[in-house]
Amino acid sequence: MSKSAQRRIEKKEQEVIEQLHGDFEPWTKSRQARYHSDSCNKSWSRLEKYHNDGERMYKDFGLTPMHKALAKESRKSQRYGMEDAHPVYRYPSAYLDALIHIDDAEKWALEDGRTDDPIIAEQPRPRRKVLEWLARPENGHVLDAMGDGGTDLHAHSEPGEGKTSLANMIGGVRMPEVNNETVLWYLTLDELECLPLAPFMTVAVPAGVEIEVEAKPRDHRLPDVEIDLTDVFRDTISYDSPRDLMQQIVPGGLYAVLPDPLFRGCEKLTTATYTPAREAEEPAEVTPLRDNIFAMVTTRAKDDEFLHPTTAIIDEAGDLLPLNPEADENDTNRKVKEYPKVYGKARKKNFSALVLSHSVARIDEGVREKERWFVTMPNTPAPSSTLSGIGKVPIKSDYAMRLSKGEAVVWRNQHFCEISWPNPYRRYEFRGEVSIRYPTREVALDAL
Amino acid sequence: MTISFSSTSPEERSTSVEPALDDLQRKQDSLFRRLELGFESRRDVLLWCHDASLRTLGQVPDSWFAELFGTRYRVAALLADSEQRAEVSESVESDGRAGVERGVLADDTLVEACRQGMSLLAEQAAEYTNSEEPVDPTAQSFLAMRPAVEDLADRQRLVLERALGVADPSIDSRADVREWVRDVVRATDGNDQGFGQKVLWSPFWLDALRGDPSSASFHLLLADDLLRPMNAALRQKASAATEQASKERTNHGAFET
Repeated sequence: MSKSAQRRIEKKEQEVIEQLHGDFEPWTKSRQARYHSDSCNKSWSRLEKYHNDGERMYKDFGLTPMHKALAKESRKSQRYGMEDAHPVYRYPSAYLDALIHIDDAEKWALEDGRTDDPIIAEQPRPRRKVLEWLARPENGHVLDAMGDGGTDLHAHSEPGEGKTSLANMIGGVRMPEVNNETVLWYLTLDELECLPLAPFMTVAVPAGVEIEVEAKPRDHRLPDVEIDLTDVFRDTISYDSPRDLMQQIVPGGLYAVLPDPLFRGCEKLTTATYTPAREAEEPAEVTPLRDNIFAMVTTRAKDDEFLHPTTAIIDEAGDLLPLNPEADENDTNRKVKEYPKVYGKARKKNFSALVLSHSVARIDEGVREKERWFVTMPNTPAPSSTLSGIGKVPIKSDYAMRLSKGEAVVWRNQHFCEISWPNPYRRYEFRGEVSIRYPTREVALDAL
Repeated sequence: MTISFSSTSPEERSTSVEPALDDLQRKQDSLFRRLELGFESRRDVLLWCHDASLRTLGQVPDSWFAELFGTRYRVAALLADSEQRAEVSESVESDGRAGVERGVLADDTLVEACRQGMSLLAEQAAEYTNSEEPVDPTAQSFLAMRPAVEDLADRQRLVLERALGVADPSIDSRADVREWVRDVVRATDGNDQGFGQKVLWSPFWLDALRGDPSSASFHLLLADDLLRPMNAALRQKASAATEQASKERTNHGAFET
């Protein structure tokens, strides 16, 4: 290649990197950013004066503050009567109970109207405002509907109907705003779907594992460019076991968790088989990377290293928790059948899950029975009430056909309501994929 | 082979078969352009909001004005000057951030309101063909060729400008307030949603109207209490279905997450 051609390519590469830097300029002023920054003294409590990411993100993503959105519904109800109130307000168990996480102590304080109690008054402002709204007498029916512990939302549709944007906006933006929630987005290596949140995210990297990251613009005139994780994400931490990760995360932090190809600590936690590619003798023995999630949920349920409200985002749940799991070399059956019990325990400790799948019917029955809220995306038939484990489906099969992009219907037992969210992808111009690879694992797989 | 239905494209024609729609589109386009450029002051934002109400034929949600002015960083994002923005909120200090925020405002409300306005007008718009006298849509003096809507909007604009101290006569005395309220009643076709009574009975409003016209809290009052009924009045005027239009634009659409 001539020198001038080489220079042209380098210039284009620089163009891609500059675009990424412009698009994903990290937000570094929050408490979580300062804590994970290399220059920080690492004392979480000494950073108390700084705001949390959740207090800022909803602004960046163009969301009305939740307390204002709620107050608007209260006002409408007062003006037109409860009969004409929005279903989200009239039937809080349909959605608000899944979104707003409060524990028993907070609920008692709110029931007593003790909004000056430190347990309420010292919460981050957006959350405090929501709690104060709950304490108002006219919203008593909403407070009554609130349950203790974590919640779950299972969104289902074919690809392209908005599940990922829902996960970004509700899991990634609303949860931190309303609950100062810690978010763990368990990544597969297939797609980096949490990209809109990257400026606020810390990537948790398995320690000592070789990682290659490449930006692949869709524009064919631009080259693929090898980049660092911090070219898009705010910062990184490394972990050597699921328990180690729990010791490093902080309240209100957003984490993109890369799976550990060596599955360190996973067998001990789950008493199931995990075989890294380098130790396998044939391809079928190699444990899928997604199986890390079983161990991640188990450590959250059992080890009590981190008890702050946490939402896990689990994509492609049909692969992780399939119907009729096989009793194969990787103990898939055992892992899947144990999952509902472990998840149930974690949920009591403020662990929530936002699960995305193509079809509720393709998920293991035991898992379905544990789930309480379902989100049917546009152009997606609602499951039939005859499907076991999901209770009564309150919407007709074709209900979601009338919904548009950025809308969905959330339902639980008797009630349902429509929700909407703005497009999270308009925050950046980069069009293409950010691909993450583990070259050493690939070599080991090729050798099999 | 290309099949052509007409010898000229819609853009090339100097006349229009549905001039009212073309006129509305041009005026809506300018609304977006002004938003992109940003505004000199909050006062200009308020006047632009009224324009948005007019150019969508009252189809922006009635609560939109108060929601916008009740969110400091959003109003700040609409200001063109970065130093002015920085004084209000560091969230939108950079031009890039402010631009994104303006885009969000357009995406979330304006596009849909413009669509509804266009749809409303399309139901009523008359067709002009070559056999009749041709109409140049760029040479229309009334918005969407609806003189009554334009007339009402002019009255509203004057009421607003007087309150903001940019049009004469200024509001200095209680008698001025009373006279101004009567203009408001006219500018809302009598459907002021209790605004007149509220102003005349509220010492706060009386002081605000005679006080600093650049005060942020005054702008919020105007956005909530005045632009709301004005928007409803424009909608009513622009709509053929009067009973339906007179209702406040509340519905049970999807809850914003």
